[in-house]
Amino acid sequence: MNNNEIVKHVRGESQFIDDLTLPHDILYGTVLTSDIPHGKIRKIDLGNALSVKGVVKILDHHDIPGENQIGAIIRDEELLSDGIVKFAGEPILLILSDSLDSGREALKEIKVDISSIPAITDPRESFRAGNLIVPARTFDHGDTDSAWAKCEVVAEGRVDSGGQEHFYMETQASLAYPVEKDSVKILSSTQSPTAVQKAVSGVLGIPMNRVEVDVRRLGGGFGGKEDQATPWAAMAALGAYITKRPVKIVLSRSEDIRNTGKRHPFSSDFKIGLDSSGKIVAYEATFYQNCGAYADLSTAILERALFHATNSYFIPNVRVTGISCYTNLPPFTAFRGFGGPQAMFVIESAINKAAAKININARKIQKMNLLKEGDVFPYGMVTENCNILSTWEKLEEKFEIEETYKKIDDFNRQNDLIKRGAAVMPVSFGISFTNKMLNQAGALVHIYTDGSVSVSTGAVEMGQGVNKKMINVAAETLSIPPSRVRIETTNTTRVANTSPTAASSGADLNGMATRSACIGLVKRLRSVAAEKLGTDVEKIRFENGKAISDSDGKTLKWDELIGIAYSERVSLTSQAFYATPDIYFDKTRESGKPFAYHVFGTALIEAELDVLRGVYKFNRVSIVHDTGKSLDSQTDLGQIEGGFIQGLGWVTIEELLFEEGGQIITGGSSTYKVPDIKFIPDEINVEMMQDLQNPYAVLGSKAVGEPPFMYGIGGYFAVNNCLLSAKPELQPDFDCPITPEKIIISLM
Amino acid sequence: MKINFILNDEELTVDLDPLFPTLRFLREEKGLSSVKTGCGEGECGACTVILGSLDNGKLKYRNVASCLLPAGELDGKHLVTLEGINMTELSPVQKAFVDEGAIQCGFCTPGFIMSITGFLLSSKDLTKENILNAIDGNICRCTGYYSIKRATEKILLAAESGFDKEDRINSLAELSIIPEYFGSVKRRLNKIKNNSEKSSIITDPREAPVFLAGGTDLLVSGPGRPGPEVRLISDIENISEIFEDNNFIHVGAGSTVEDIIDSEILNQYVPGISDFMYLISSQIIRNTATLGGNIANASPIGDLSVLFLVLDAVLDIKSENGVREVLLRDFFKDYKVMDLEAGELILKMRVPKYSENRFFNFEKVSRRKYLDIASCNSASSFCLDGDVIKRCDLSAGGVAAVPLFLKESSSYLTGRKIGEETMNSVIEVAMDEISPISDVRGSSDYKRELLRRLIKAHFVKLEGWM
Repeated sequence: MNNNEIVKHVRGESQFIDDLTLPHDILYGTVLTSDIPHGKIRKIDLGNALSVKGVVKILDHHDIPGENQIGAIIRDEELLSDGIVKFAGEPILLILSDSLDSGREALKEIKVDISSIPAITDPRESFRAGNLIVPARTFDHGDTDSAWAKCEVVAEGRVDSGGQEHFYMETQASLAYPVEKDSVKILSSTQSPTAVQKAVSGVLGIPMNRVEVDVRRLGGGFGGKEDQATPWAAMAALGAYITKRPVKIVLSRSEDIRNTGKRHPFSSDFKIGLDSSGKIVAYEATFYQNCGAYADLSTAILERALFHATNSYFIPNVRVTGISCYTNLPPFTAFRGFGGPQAMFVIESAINKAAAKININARKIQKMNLLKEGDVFPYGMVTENCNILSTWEKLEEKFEIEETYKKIDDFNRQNDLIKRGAAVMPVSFGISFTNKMLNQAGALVHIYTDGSVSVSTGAVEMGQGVNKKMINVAAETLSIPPSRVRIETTNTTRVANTSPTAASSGADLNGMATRSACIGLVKRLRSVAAEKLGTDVEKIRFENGKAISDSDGKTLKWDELIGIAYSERVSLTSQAFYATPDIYFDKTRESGKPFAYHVFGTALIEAELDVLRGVYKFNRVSIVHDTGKSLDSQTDLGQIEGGFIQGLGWVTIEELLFEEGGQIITGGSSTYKVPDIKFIPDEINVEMMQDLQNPYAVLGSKAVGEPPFMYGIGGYFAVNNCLLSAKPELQPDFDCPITPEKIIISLM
Repeated sequence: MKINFILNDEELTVDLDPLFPTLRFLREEKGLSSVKTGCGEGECGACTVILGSLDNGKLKYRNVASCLLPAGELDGKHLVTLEGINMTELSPVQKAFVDEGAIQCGFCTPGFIMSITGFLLSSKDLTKENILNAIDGNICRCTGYYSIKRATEKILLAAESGFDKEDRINSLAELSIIPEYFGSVKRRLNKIKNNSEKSSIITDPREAPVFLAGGTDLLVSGPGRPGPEVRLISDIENISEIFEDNNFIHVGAGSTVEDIIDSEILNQYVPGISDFMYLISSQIIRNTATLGGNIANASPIGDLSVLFLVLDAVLDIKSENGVREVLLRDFFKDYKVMDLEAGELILKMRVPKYSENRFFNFEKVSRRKYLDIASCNSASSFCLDGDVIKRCDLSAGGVAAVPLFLKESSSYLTGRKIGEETMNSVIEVAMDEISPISDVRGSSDYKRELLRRLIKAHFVKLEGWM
């Protein structure tokens, strides 16, 4: 077990950008942002800012040598505003000073006169005003219009889900160095080194080969550093390029919460129809995606929402529409699940509403409609190795779903002040970037003459354990102990054109590339060993740090073999590339096979509501999750448990609030609350289904980062069921998070 | 200000603004980067350090958030960062984290290691409950809490054999939980402590200072000083003492929330007070947040103010003219307006000792149960004669411009029989006493309804108690 990384962490010796020793000529970047959610800049009065001791320069959009543009998918976002601001927190000026305090002092000196323009914060209002990023998209499968006639029961309703602040423990951070006169090197806390490289190249007007981006590790990302790390890195680079001094920008927590994008709030309408047996016949939904001021990754996120509109259910007639609406809020962005959670919350709400209408428990409808092998998703993909029902059945068998519900009913009959409730949450999540182009990765593996191995990939370590997995892949492929392998920083000069570490795909894509690079090395080393041991190449196998000849059992130790290979002038470096095969999607027909495979799992969540006070807790959660053959069980367990709790936070206590005018209300850590250790359910049981090798990812494994987040959605319905026990006549709105305030208002 | 202290194993004298945040001193001037900047508001625990101080000749340690710890508080103390815990081999605390995979991104990890090591250095008993209380202010956003919990269980097991409460430091060093040098700290601190001088309380009223106790509120407001002159009160003699005489329990204004939890006297006279205290913030804050600070901050939702309002508490306020007393319920005048002149200092609070059997209860509802500010809180104290209320005191927070003593409701209840009718009518009386506003903690409608329910909760608990 290679525990190098983790040992550094427990000793406080692992370094994040803000921890690095700084050069003597360092400058600190402080960003002046708009206070106004929507407006036109009339005048900027620097006051005495430039005379504040330590202030070196104040940059605005005129100082940008290249293009003032950082939009990755849609080019709609300026680095520094050149006149119109569209959210409170939009960068306008960059103050460069030789101390942090003087930058903050200068900030107070500057007055920006902005004339307000009415702000829109509601995506439905924005839709009515025609303020869309791209035209609406619709997935239309079967014949929904005529299907309603066949339905015994039809339920309709509205569903809202709130935004979610990433609250990665390490705030956005970047440190840019001028390199000679014409280049820059940027250390950035980004999930997308190449996105930073590209944006900086554009902003500075220099080719990409003069921009080096290096990432050692992130103190959490969760999607919040996929696109949202770019502006801060680009500003640091701009400062460094202009002043020829290194520039560091690290946001304070309140700046980070206020100025950066979060999970998209969605407002949706649904209509669901069931036949008399409970089979879902038809489903319609419209998602109004609140995108904030700039497109960022919104269109891709909406697409994933559409792909997950039916979650784990087979529905023959489906029409789902997604609308990306601009508003005057921070540019909403990627967050674990990437639209999937928002869409799944809608279908689960629809099922719950329909279940209430026919007075049967939602779990009966859920189970009856689970996907089976060969069923077709509304976007044309046929399910394969479909495990969803097995995870449900295993959950039932091990954690007694029916018995749990019965116990809860008994408890509720005897108690008025405390009510219990449960919910089952199945999850089927598609793995691959929905943008086919991004499903590629590279790896560069060196073996040094002492036999130690260095691996570079395009994957960024942000706590998800991708480094540990890459070590395991390399060690297993090279048949050496993991302690011989080191994972390098993610660096654009070693692995170029990286896709973001996102979409749960970091280990899948980069693991395949790493494995392939290692196989290349093994092939060369096998020839060297065969030559040395005097046998045929086919007779050589590698095991426990040795090459073994099957002809006579003679062995050659790894270090010795490497020494020979070097002296024989055999290359000990291998580069490899991987592109996910057989995925495609035709946007004109909204049909294809966008995913390499799906991850499946089912969770049972049990909650308890204090009816008097409107507060609740979670007593137990049980999860059966399909991990494939795990690359590292401990890492996967951490992802399953952690993802679930993060999802539970989203639907319960994490309430992101904005004033109607667009100012953030929950702009600090004292007002925006994420789960603490006492919030988590008392008991958790996680069963990993490892028996099914996944043919579509490295060494039979499956991606794990995002899917468990969506088990958390069950927490909403568990609490909602407690609420319904307390007040059976209630017709609750589906509005997440389900805060104590909303509960009390419902009980009033 | 010249500050003499021990940083890890090194004696130091530094010249710093006493309000300079310890976190910044550690990171920017000492390069101790294990101490992370997570939020700057004491809300995340990434900057947790351990602070050791001599208390009546005893060396006591506590965990604190270094982002809110003014450098002036370091004087005469032992400040420990993870760099000062690291030994050649991993400690059993560190090892348990490694073995359980209780680490994802690693940013919060040093804070957790410090909180747990500090727990072992300070906790009365090594129980599962206490170790969780010790990390209730450490946020892990990868939400790897289950593996952290599993690690804490391993740590308790590892500490079980060989841990000696009476000889704590030596036994922890023996267990390799802390380095050997801790053994010499008490002796070294004694030498330092003698060097520092105490300054007088009374200052010229023309330049009335802002008194700063724990700083957990005043220093949150970010960079900048709370006033032109700031006076740290922690070195004032007896400022954090809790003792009793015939009539009163005296609680020094500098008593921290954890001091209240630990106070046998308070627990005896105010049953259950410790349990209620765990609803207040997190241990790293409870270790520095003071009674006096909570009262002088005059937050309408202040937990301690609301709680002591129903206990007839009296404040002793000192100025150059001597000490005067004010009833706590007369102290709050309007939003952040108090019966406190510039230059005056709350010295202590006195709580009358009741001879009779009394029911006491505190209720608090917030978005997150722990480490959060209440939407509404309320306290009650009942003295009964059979099922007749001889006397009742009710208070509520978050429903007015001040922490509110519900005067009308309290007097309404006097002489009435306990029952649903009484309960329902007193709720209506209370509704006329309050004027909640809508804010980040909830809408005014919600707060009204919540107070109704919290009053009900007092009655429900009262009936259970009877």
